[in-house]
Amino acid sequence: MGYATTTVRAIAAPALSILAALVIGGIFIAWAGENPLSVYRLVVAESLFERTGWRDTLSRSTPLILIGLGLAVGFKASVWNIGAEGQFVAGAAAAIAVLGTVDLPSVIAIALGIVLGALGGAAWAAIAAMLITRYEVNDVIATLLLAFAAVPLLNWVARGPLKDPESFLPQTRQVGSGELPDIPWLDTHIGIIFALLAVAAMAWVMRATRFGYLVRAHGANRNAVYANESRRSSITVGILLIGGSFAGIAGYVVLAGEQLRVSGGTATGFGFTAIIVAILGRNNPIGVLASAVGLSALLVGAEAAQRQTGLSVTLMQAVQALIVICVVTGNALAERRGRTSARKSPA
Amino acid sequence: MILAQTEITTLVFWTAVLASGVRLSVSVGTAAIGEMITERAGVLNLGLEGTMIIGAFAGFAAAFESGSVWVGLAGGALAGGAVGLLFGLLVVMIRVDQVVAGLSITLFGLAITAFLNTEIYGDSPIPPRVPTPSILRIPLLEDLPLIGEAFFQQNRVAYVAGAVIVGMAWFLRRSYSTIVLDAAGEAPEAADAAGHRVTIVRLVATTAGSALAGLGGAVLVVGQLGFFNSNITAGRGWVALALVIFGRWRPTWIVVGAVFFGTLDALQFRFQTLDSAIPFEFFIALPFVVTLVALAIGSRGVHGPSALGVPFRRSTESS
Repeated sequence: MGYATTTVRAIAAPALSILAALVIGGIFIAWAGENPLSVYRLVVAESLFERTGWRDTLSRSTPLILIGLGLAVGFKASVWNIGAEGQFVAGAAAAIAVLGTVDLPSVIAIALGIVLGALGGAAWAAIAAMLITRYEVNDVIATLLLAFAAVPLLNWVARGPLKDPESFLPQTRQVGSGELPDIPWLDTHIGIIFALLAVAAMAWVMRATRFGYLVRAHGANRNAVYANESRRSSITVGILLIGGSFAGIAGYVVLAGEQLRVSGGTATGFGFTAIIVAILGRNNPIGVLASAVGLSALLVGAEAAQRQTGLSVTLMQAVQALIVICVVTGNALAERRGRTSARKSPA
Repeated sequence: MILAQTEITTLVFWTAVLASGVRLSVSVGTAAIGEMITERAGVLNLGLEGTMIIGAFAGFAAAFESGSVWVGLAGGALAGGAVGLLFGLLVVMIRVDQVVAGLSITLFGLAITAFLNTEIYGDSPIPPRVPTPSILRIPLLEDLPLIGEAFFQQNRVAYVAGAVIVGMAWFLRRSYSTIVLDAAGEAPEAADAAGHRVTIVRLVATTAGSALAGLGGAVLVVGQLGFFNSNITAGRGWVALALVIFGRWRPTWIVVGAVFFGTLDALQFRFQTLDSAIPFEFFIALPFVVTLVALAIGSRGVHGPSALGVPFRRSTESS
């Protein structure tokens, strides 16, 4: 078996898998009484070829890239932080708690917002880290239940201690000078630049640092890492704090770039979609970037399709999950075939 | 209705809390027993929440179209079993990563049921309803203080779900299948050497466990609420997963945990109207926080089935 076949397989398997997921989605579209091809054409046209479309795609993918990067580090190490939604909310709340009350020059306010977002997200993740490492609570359960607890607490924060006294609605004050400016000529906020910088930084960290090596080793064989390299808890704690920081920064970016205030509506599910982003991106920073943009385009297009045809956007959320199922299944099948044929022809 | 603080000390209050607590615990308890069966065979199904909501929707649709609660329950269990079979094929046969497949099934289930519900039943603020089953009173026993209302004054579906839970617990205690089940989860190589088909055992356990999760979802919607909404399970599948760990993979303790959690949930609803300085959002978060605390106290040194989450590959297999 030659190198070329392996490469073809590495590209063909995911491509066919995504196609399979879209076909299944198409069956549901047809069942709902729409033409699948014209709906998909609409999705692509609206998300990639309309100015408002790709602008929305970029701003939608920004938090997904940021959160996905942090989750990917964890997933690579088999530390399953799936409660990013709570860390996202904590970051946004921490940022508005300070920025809503002070008036600083814009650059300082933005820098402070990023730091506060990271601290808020990391603080929420630190609770999970303590439960997991000190009390041996399952990582999936600990992170997720903390996310479920965070959302009602967010409602309380927006209604109670941080409420804007001049507003009748349960929402905080505006982010003020911490608001993110637009990129000139692109009319989308600069958050996407932060996200791209974060991709580059994480790619370097994972490739060139001892931490990146430990993460990979922890995913492959954690007992070997504990025996030789690192204290049992420190690597897990580090991974969770990084995941929390990135989710918290995403919380600040969405606050400062789009919502401007924190309210119960701040938790919109980015933390959960980012799980799909990280898995589809094969826990690799560049892959996270690609899958975040792709999945955002799908959703932005689906929202346009909902406005024009009435087809509910929830279908494309289901298709996102189907894409993951099909891709991981396709990869597993391709690897099996690869192994079998490699054995048959000793080259 | 504002709850006065003095009411909390009365027997009437706690009788009512325990009664709704037991009512709330049956659906999550059924799902937890299902997950326990799956996990004891060595398969971790994080698709529980998604399976539960698919069962809830299928159960609602079946009950709504047929007009029968029992058809609804059967529909929920069947749909859950179908999802479980698919999940089993993915993780047992093709050996897809269990965590990834499970999370995807959950995200898929939450989204697809929201879509189907909008398409079929519309998304009006007043959803269509199915009549909830009538209350069955057990004479004399229902008059017992504190527990009478909780255990002997429930609706028919709650009794059936309770019977399924107790039946499963009893079956697992006494039967040879349990030994095979645990062998597949604890020592799959040894089970294989002894002539048991580990793959088949895991596939059956995953399908059966998911059927129970689907039944749990149907019990919630058909047996208690009478309507379906997107995200109606609201994290109950995840709580069921926590209960399996909390109950240390033993049916009795899982049932105790389910009643405890259900009571907490019932208390939370009542405390929301409590006339106190504590914000009501704290009470909404309370069940999750208490579950975490319970896990923190009880998780140290506890290990599930040894081969939980580890795919099985026969050493003689070609691939």
